[in-house]
Amino acid sequence: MFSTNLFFAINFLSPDFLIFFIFGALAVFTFWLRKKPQHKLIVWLLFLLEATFVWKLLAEIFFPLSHLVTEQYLLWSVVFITHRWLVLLPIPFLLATAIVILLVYHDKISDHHAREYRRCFSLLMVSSFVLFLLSFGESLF
Amino acid sequence: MWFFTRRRIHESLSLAAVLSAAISLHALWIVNLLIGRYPDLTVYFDLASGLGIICGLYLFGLVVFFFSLGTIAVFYKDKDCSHHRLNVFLFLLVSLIIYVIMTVPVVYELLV
Repeated sequence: MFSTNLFFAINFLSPDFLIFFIFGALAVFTFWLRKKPQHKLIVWLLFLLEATFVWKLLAEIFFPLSHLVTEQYLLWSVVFITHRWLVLLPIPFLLATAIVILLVYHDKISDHHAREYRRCFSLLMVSSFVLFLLSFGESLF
Repeated sequence: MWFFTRRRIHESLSLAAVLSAAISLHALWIVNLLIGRYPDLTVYFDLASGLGIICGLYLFGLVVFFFSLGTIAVFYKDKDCSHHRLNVFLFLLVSLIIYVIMTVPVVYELLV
């Protein structure tokens, strides 16, 4: 019983769940970006997301004995391991770009002249989330 | 925090960030393909034993991202870059699509 609870607690605290929650919050604010830009809150959430990704990557790269790396991971073919990593690879760059866009534009992101950057921000958010989902899905096999 | 209180950061920085993200995506899939085609290159990217080329690729991506960010930001500094916005957005979109396609194992194995 104790070990089962501990197992769920550890999984609940794993970076993947935190990343899901932050992405969910960010999705709401991204939809509101045009009408009611909450740029400070979004930037803090993005910083938190970036930090969580760094935590996740450090956990998976430098501490390969952690619970995140399962036996199935070790049994995968080289191509699929590389693909999972490659899917995860661009997300920190995309998030950093989104942070820079918001730091430059602040609440002016809702203005007409920032239309392309708004699209860019939405694209970065959506692509990061899709890539993360892909990586998460592949890690389940 | 200083970045919230600062009144104005030039647009060139955000344009440079978007462009450098797109450039680093291209650099990553090209290098990944080159490593598959020429296995001798693995030596330069295999930084942690047992994890393969991924540590080297991360480091390479970081170097490309920050180098291109600095270079493009300096190039566009104090210039009107408003007419490049749409092109840069489309470049990022195309880069993302190409990255996803070129790293799919089926395509990757066909090309390697």
